[in-house]
Amino acid sequence: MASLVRGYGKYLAKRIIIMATTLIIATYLTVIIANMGGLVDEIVKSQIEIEVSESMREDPKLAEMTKEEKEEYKQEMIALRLRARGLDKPFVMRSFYYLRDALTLNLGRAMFLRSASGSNRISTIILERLPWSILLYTTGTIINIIIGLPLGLYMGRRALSKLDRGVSMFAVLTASLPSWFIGVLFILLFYFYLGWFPPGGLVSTTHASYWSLGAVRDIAWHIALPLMAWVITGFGGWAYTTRNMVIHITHEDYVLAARAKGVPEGLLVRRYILRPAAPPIVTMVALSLIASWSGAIITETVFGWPGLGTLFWGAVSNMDAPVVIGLTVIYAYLLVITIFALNIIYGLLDPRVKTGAR
Amino acid sequence: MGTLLDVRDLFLYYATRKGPVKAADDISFQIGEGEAVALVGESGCGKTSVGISLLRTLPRNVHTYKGEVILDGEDIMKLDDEEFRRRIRWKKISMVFQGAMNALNPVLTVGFQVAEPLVIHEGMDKKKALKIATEYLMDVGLREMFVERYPHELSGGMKQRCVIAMSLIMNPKLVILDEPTSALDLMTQANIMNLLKRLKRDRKLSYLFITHDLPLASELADKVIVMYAGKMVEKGTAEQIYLDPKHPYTQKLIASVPILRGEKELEYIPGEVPSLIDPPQGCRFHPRCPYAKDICRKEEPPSIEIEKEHSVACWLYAE
Amino acid sequence: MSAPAPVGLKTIFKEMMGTISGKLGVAIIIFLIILSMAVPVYTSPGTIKKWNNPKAWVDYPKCAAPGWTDLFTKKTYCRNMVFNPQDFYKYSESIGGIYRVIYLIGVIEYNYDSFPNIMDGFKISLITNSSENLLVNITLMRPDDLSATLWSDSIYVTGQTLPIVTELSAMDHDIKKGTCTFIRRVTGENIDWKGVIPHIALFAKVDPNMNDPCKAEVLKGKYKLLIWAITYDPDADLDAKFIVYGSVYGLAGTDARGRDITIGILWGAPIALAFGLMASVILGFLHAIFGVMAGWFGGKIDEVIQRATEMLMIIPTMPILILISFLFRVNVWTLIAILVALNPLGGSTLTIRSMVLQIKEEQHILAALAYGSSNYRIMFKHIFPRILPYMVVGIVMSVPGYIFLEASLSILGLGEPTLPTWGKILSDAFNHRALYLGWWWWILIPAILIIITAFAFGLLGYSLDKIVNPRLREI
Repeated sequence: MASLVRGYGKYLAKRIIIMATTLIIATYLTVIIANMGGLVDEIVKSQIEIEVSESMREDPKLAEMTKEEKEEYKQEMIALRLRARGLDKPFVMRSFYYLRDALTLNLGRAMFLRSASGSNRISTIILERLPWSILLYTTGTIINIIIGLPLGLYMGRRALSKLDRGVSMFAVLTASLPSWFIGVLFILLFYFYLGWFPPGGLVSTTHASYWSLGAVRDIAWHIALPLMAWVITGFGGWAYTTRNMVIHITHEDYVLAARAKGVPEGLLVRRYILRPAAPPIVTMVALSLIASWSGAIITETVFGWPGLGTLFWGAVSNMDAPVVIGLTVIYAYLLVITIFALNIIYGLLDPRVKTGAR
Repeated sequence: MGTLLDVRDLFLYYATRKGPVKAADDISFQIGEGEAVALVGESGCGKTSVGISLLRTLPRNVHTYKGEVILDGEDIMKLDDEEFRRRIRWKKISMVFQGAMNALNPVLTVGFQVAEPLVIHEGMDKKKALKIATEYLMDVGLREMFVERYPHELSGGMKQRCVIAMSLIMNPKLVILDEPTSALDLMTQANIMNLLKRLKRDRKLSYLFITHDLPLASELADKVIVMYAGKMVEKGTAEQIYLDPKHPYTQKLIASVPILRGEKELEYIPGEVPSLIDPPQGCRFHPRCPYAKDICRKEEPPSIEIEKEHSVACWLYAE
Repeated sequence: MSAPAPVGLKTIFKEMMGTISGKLGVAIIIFLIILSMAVPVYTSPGTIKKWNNPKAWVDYPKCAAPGWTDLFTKKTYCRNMVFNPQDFYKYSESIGGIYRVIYLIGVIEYNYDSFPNIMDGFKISLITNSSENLLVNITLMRPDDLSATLWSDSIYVTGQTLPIVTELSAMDHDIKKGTCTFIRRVTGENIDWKGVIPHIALFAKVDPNMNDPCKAEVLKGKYKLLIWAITYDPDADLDAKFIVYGSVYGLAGTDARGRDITIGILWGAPIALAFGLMASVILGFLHAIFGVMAGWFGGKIDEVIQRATEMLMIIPTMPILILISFLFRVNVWTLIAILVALNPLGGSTLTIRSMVLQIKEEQHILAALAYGSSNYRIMFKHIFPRILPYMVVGIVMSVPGYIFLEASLSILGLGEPTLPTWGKILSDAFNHRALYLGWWWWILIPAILIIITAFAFGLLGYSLDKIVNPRLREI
């Protein structure tokens, strides 16, 4: 038993190293790309300037200086800070400072966008939107699993039946359709022609708190369309993947052996089909989640859902570079965390991992 | 020694798009208590089908499945599926599968898998079942530490031992062994065969030993049944078959076995195994038989008893 | 996972054509290819530049629905009617060598049940080369024998370069005022000229509601546009062009800039196909090559490739793409280059690697090694053909994904700046809030085309998957 824990531990450690490296590489890549043309430098410089000006305004001692003296003082302060931030050094060194900042989520301030509370600190802005994104995606994914997995199981056990063929074709088709695409069509249908659902946004009226009954109902009404778009394009892939896995495994000898041993059907499905199928399904889920994070940006935009996606859209439209950069880093983080979580689950499911086998 | 198993007129056809595959065509034989019967033949001759017919682990596309299988005085073909599962399968008849590598679930420990039938059929408590499983595993030659291991941590031979232990856990009377050693190296093969011999002796087991390897079968078999293209062509005691084969096919099979020392011209059987969907008319072996007569092409030969326990299905012996 | 069955590409293709999904998929793709080839036939070579040039679309109605829309309604919709100078009857006479009088008459047969395009209405263009100011009067004679003076004013030519073009649109203040006078005269209603909609009122039956687009009834029949001009330049000439903007146009309607969406769609077809296929094939091959190398060489190379693949798969491609497109304008081809740079390894690298691991153990490979084949020879002659069918499935199934990727970037406004890809059309539609204003054709038609393309490749992929996937064969 102890060796199992050790094996699992080693596995996790290895995954952490890989994830961390990936995060660093992704962030560094972002920093470099963003700074092509010295963009990030400009941003930081102007931010320092703003900071200095603000601090100077608050300093009573400076009120008595003349204009020229103030200007001189300001330049000195700026130079000081630039040196502290290492901005007087060549780019290669600076890039590591930025990397450190990005990794510690010290993302700076936005140029134009503001959070609802008026702050321009990027971390605040992002944190404000993050819960809504998570709400949408988590709910959507959970529904996908609830529908897709059992459906796939059913299909796999009755392979090539009419249901199987129909749903498989449906799955293959919707698998490549991004959710925003269907979202656009849904808006056209359900809002414009039928008027059943609102075309976007979070709430139609203001509420005292997000937890009040009215607010919950309002949010639910607004989340309906994006959720439907998400689910329609999502559950098919889950079902199809599960179905393929089930077909694959049902033909394995150990299922036959188990049946010969007298294992009853229900137990057979759980223990001999689903459990061995779980690790590869988790892997495929990971892959599909990676893919869907990206498409999610547009989905949010199309529906005006106040999450990270719409923030991206707003930042891009307003040319607010610091926000765009910060968001890219956040996305890298989110992705890495999600994949790591899936790695943990995978390790628990597949004993080959715990024993350190290849 | 009494008769444990009496198989009469067993048929198993599969349904395919191109027509029914006549895998087991009118098979009849008997297995006595504590007796090992070898079922030999080429790949695709239907021997595995006989095995799964007895255990009733049929695939979905079954076309015909009929006959009488009398086990301990009871025709088990007449039982419905649920009763068969409860009373017969694994309790009276069990199976050791071809390719043990794949017969074990990769996400469960081997101990658990060996113990599982006890939990399912007897409702036994898991701990107790594991203890019994451990005893069986040790009996087949595995050390106690392997109980908690996963299949991928075991070698091929060890896995095969697990599968054997798994088949014995409910103390069945008849064990069907389907090519139990074909995926193993020669040394391990020898060890497994010795194990099987010992178990048969210690527990008075009956075996139905399905294989294509004629010399291997001779190590274990008391009686031998030779199958060709879904039909039984000859059956008899091991001595009768090996020393005095009557059917041309059996003769060819024996002759094609190489001898370690001594001069011997290697023989082979010309031609190909016939399709089971559309087998040749009359005697199915006639296209490859050097003694084929006119009647062989037209009519199927009946089973003719030559001496006690020895019968052949060949027109050569019809008088 | 078992090794892929040794099946040749030709056999696969034949088997695929045997299935319904295969046939349907191929049929749709052939249709799209024909569509792509129709482009140079239907449009002239300069069309691409024309797409972004607003001047090229002035004669087209804005936000017009597709022409076949009125097949489903009881009322017929107004078609786009363009009357060029040669369509006008001209009488031009020089009086005493001092001044010239020019009469232009255009005849319009208006037989539709509804009014012209609510947004643009109509447009009268006057083109003259006179060196002296002209006094011009424009009158519309209606089938009910009532006439409305639309415009009575001078065209000033001093200091202007010839030829002088004066454009009067329906929403011009002068035209509105002229129409207002007409309405007051025939109905006695005292309405404000600012609320007058000339292209409704002038074409409507006399009625107190003749200015109301919802209640007015169309007056069908022969209309005559009378233009007379008089000027002190005896050699002057005047031509007129009259456009009644239709509320429907063409196969796919027009967008908010008047661009014929059919052209956009046609141009989008080859771009979509080319981009999707190129991206798929290039990346598919790259992934496969790395997969083969990882599987074949094993050891350190294998480790490195595997770890790199995992890492690259986790890096969020979309946000980085957005970042890059945001900072630097990318066109379709640069996009492919960036995709290659970001994703030289992908999911299929790992699956192909495991296939290679299985194939590696097969006898003929060991034989080839034994008789001295070089590594590369074995990889390409023996291993690659075996994984090729699986690769083809992967490539086919990833084409729609890339088409959508391009469309996604376009919707955010970051994509290809000049070429009218389907994604760009959609993004324009979205930016003009077509969704909320009910200009359904602007969204549905490119959307349906994208869906059909995805559908086609999905069908192909589905039937191929059944054929190539070893386990699914066994059923």
